[in-house]
Amino acid sequence: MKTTRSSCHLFRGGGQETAQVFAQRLEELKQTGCSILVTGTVDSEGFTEQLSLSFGNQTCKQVLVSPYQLSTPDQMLPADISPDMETVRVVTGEQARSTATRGRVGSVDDLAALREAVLDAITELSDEFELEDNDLRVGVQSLDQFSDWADGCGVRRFVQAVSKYVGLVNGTLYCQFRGDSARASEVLDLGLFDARIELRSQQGCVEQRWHLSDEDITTEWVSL
Amino acid sequence: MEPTVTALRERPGVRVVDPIESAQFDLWTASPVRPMSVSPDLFRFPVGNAVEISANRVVVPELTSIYLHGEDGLAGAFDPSDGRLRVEGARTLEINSAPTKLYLRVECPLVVEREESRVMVRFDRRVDVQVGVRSLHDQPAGTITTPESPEDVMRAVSLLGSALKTTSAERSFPTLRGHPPLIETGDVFTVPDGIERPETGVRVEVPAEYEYVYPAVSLAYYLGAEVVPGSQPRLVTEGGFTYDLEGDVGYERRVGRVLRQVFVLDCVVRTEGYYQIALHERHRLEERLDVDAGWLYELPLAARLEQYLDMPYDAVADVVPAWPLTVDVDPSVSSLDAMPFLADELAVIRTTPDQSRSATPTPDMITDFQRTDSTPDLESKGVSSEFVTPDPVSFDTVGRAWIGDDVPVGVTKLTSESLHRSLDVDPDPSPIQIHVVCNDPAMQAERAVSEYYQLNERHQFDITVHTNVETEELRALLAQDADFLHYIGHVIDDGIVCPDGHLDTGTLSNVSVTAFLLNACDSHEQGLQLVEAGSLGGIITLSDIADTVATQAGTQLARLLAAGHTLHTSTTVLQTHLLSGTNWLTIGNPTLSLCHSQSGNPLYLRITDIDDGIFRTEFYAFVSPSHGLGSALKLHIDSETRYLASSKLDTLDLSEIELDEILERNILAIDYNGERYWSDEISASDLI
Repeated sequence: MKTTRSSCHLFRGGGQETAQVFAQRLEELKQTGCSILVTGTVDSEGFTEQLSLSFGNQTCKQVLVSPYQLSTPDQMLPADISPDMETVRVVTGEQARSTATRGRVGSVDDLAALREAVLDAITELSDEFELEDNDLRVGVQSLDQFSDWADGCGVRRFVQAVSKYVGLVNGTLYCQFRGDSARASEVLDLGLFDARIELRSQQGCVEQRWHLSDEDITTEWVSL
Repeated sequence: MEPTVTALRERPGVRVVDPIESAQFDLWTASPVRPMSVSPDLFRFPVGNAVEISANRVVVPELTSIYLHGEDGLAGAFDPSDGRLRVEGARTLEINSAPTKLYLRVECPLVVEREESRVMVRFDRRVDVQVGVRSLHDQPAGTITTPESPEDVMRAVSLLGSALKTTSAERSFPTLRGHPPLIETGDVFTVPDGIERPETGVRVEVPAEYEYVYPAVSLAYYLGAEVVPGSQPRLVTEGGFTYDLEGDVGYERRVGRVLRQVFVLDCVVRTEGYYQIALHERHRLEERLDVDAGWLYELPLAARLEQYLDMPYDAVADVVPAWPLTVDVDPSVSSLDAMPFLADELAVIRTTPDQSRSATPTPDMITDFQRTDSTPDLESKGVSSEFVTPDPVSFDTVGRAWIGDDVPVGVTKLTSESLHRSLDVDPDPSPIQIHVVCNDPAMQAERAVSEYYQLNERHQFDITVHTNVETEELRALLAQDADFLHYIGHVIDDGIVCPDGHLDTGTLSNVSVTAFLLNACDSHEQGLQLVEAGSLGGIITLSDIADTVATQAGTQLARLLAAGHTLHTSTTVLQTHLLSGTNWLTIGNPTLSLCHSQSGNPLYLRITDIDDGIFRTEFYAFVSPSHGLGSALKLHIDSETRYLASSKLDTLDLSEIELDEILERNILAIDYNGERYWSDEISASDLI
C-alpha cells in the first residue's frame, strides 16, 4: 500500500517506514475484523464525535450499544444515518435490564442480558445483509459505566463475547472508555484489543492518536 | 500585622487580638498586669509577638487542653477530664483552644487544674510569665500592587514568603504557613507595610517570562526565595550552591520535583523539632538513605536545602504524599491574581501550552479505515468548541485544576473570583443550612441525601427538602444565604428544568448559596454561571448521565461531603474509588468543604483480604481545610506511628474490634471485593 504525504505526518520525523507498517496493519484489521479501545478524557461530545465517525457511512451496518437510555441516539450516528433505518440497531442497558432492577444500578445479570441483546442484534444484521469486510460497525458507548454493574471479569466477558461475534463477520468493534488508559487497564484487559485510540481536546478540537501495541507504534496527534 | 497582647480594662488580665483574623482571646490574672514587650526568640516556637507579665496564676476562661513542652520536646498534655496536673521545672504551655497559637513560658513548678468551666494554671509564687502569640491567619496580610511586566511580577512573587511563620523545617506544618499576600496589577509597584521577604539566602533565577515565573511561585513561597531574572533557570543559595532547574526532565517538572522533595524531607526532619513523633515516612526513608535528621534540623534553610538537593529525587519520590493540587494556568497576566492562592495550597503549577498551533489533518489511512465519505456536520450536533483536555500528570496528584478561558475536561475549573470571594466568608456558628431540591419524580430516591448529610455528628444541620420547585421559587432559594444546594433533576441548554419551565442561571445576578451540586446531565454551563453570580464553588457534570447512575452518584457525594471531603476530593474519591467515569467536575474554589472530618482528614479503606478474622486493610487519607498538606495523621491502631496525610498511607492487618472502632469513629467508604460499603451501614462481621 502506498503511503500519502499526510500519512508521514503521523510519525515524528517523517517515519516513512513506520507509516507503511501502520497502513499495512490497518488494512489487515479491515480484512480480518478487529476490536479497538477508545480512551481519553474528552467530554461526552468528543466521544460522540469519534463514535459517529467510527460508524462509517450508509454502506455500513451499525450497532450502537449504550448503558444509558438514549433520548437522542441519532446524535451518536453519522449525519445521514438514523436509528430507524433497517441497517441500524440500538441496544441500551435500560432495554436489556429486567423490570426488577429498573431504577437501580445495573447488575452482572443485566450486563449478561445486554451482551445477549447485542449478540442478537449482530446475528440479525448478518442474517439480513451480506456483510463485507469492515461493514459491521459496533460502537459501545461508556464501557466504563459497566464496571458499576459487574466486576472486571464480567466486563471482560462482555467485551470478549461481543468481540468474537464481530470478528466472525470481519466487522469492527469500538469500545469507548471515558478515562485514560491507566484507568481502563484497571477494569479491562487491554490485550483484548487490536488497537487503541486515544482522544484529547485541544482548543475545542478533538484530536486522536492511535496505538498499535503489537507493533509498538504510536502516531502523532491528528484531528479526528 | 502581628497579634497584639494588651492589658484588659474590665478586669485583671490580658487580651490577645489577631487583627488579620479579627479574633480575640482573654487570659485572666488575679491582679492587674502591665505587659512588657520581650523578644519572640525566647520561645522555641515561632511567635509573632511576645510580652512578659508578672502573675501567680493565669486563668483560661474556657475548657481547653494544654500541651506541656520541655526543652527536649513534648513532655505531656493536660486534658480537662484529667482534673489536675502538677508539673516540675520550666515549661512552655500551649493553650489549644485559643484562636491564635498561644504559649505561656514559665521557669517554676506549676499546677494545671480544671475549675468548673475554666482551666487554671497556678505557679508556686508570683513569677514572670512570657506570653507568646502567633496568628493562625488564613487571611492575606495585604495586597501587593505590581505593573504587568514579568520583572515586576517577579518582585511581587518574591514577597509571597513573607507569610511563612518560620524558616525552620516546621513550615511544612500547614499552620506555620500563612496565606501569602494578594497580588493585583497597577501602574506603580507598591507593598503594604509589614510585608517583607524572610532572609533565607535562596534565590530562584528564571527568564523574565510568565511561563517561567508561574511554575516557580509555590517553590518561591515555600523557600522564602527571591525570584530574579536569569538566562538559565536555577536555584542559587548564599553559600554559592547552584542547582539546575531544567535538567533532563524540563523546567516545570524539575521545579515540581524540587518542591515535593524539599517538602517531604522537611516533614521528616521536623520530627527532630517541636513534635518528636514516629513518622512513617521518616522510617521509610531511613531504610534506604543515611539521613541525619538531627543535624539537618539545626541547619539554616539554605544550607538544609543544599543537603536535600544532594539526594536524588528518585530516592524520595515514592515517599512524597500524593500532591493535593496540580494546576494548569494560562501563562498571561490574567492568571496573576490566582498565584497567592495557589502558593497557599503549595500547588504544583504548570503553564498551558501554546494553543496557536492547529492539529495535523487526519491522514488518509485513518479516514480510509473509518471509510466515511463526508464529515458529519458537528455544528448541527452541538459539539462545543470550548472544551480542552489538560496534559497528563506524571506524578501522584489528588486534585487537578485549570485556570483559563476553556472548560477543562476531567479537572476542576478554578476561577480567581471565587478564590477571592472565599476570603470574605466569616466563620458562621449557626447550623449548616442545606437545600435539597428534587425536580424529577423519577429521582425521588435521591431525597435520602438529607439523611446522609446529617451523618456527621460534629455538626448541626438545617436541611430542607423541596420537590417540584418552580422557577421563581428556585431563583429565590439561590438568592438566600445557605451553605449548600443539592439539585436533583434535569438541565437543558436553556437552564435548570422546573415544572413551569426552566431557570437559566445566566439571568441571575446575585447567588448567595455558598456551594452546590447540580446532579443533572450536562450541568457545567449552568453551574459556571452560578459561580459567576456569587457561589464559591460547586460540583457539576460534563455529559449525559443515566438516571440510575446520577442517583447513586448524588447519594455518594452527599456522604463524602458529610465525611469532610472538599468539593474536589469528593469528586476524586467518587470517580477513583466509587463510580467510574469522568462525568463529575468541580468548579470555582475546589478546596471548599461542608463539614469537618471526625479525624481531621477524611479516610477511605480498601480491604484486600480477610483471613481468620484479620482484615488486611489499605488506608487512604485526604487533606482537608483544617488539616492541610503536611498534617500528620494517627490511625488509632498504632499509638506511635503517624503518617503524612494524603492518599495511600499504609496497609495494616486489623482485628475485627480494631476495624469496628475505625468504622464507628469515621464516616468512610470501604471497598471489599469490588463492593462498596459505608461505615454507617456495616460492621466488620458483615464482611466475613
